[in-house]
Amino acid sequence: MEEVTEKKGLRDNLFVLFFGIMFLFSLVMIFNQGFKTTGYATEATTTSNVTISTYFAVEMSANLTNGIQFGSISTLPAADQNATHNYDGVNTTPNGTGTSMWMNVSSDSNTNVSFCIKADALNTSGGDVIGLANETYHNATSTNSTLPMNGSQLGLTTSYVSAGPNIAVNSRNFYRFWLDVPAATASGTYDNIVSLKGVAVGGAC
Amino acid sequence: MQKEVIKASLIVVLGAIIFSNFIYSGLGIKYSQESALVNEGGSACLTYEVYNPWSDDSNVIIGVSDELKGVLILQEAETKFVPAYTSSQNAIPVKFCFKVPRLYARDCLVGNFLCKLDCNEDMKIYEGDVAVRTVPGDDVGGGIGGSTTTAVVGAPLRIRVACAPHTRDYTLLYAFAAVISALIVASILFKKYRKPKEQRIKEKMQKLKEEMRKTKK
Repeated sequence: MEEVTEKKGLRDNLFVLFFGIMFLFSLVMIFNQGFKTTGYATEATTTSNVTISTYFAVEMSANLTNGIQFGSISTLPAADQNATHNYDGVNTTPNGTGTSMWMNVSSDSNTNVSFCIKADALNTSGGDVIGLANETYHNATSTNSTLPMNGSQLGLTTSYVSAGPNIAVNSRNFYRFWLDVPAATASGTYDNIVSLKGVAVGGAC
Repeated sequence: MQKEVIKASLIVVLGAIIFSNFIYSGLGIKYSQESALVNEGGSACLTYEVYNPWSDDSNVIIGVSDELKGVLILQEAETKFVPAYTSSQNAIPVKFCFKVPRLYARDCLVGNFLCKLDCNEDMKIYEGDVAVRTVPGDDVGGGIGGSTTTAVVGAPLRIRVACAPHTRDYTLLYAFAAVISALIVASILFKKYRKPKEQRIKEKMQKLKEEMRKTKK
């Protein structure tokens, strides 16, 4: 009986010793796992440094900042409905028939700028949609009664596409917008967001 | 009471009008970095500078293009007020921080555990741009109909994700062994020392007495 008890005591001590060592070993290995090195050789280096900065600034004309509005349309279908500021550029052309929507490249820029455009579909809060291809635009580096040209209009897309490449510093890129409204369009107020992005010339949209 | 409500409403309306005048769509960007090397699973911060040489104040916010949204987890992006006539020489720094998730395939023994990473794949490179945009003013979407416009300036950014090879990570196994060992040791010690010391000594003495008695016989 005593022998059995003694053996049990001895076994317990051995167990404590064995698992105690295993516990410590595991802790050491966990610690070690976090500090593994690659074993790469070290080398001495010195740095050579130059910083090349690119900077440019763009501005929307006041009427473009206020949004592109197409007014109230009561007869459907409507084709090439003019944006309200397509031909009211009193201060932009001598005869005042140019557009008053433009993007300006600041003289405080050290690169020409390319403009890109994207939009999302015109929709109402109720979920009615006018497909984005119905909202069109054209851009030109000068403006008058024909430029930007209605006949050269392009549909807006949900990804950025080029809309005025290589606009020189201290120059403007002019925009006109038109809207087609299909016959079956539900009544409502349709809105969307048009983004005009400037990137340094040569950069992707 | 009614007069106070009217006064408060007028102040709110005037404030909105004044504030909307401050929001204008002119902004500039200045940058000197077009690529960044980031460790997989690591965080990084980049600083761009914004300026506004125009005659009206702007509020701008920094973000990344859709191509980079899939790979970068944007952690913080701040809206900055850029006063009018801020030249490129006095551009205001705007910092944005991001985290790159784990992108390289690991060889794991159990689920996502006990993994090793050999880095045999080509370096993952993502290209897109950092876009600083004006915070839009009163939304045309408020019911007038038409398109709200936003001016954006973009700077190209190429993110190269570095892969750090490592041997199989046995941390989980070691942790498991440590927990089991600790439990076994604790249970043995608990069994051994659960009785009070006095009682244990008494029991030991009792055993010794019995042993001596047997030896005498």
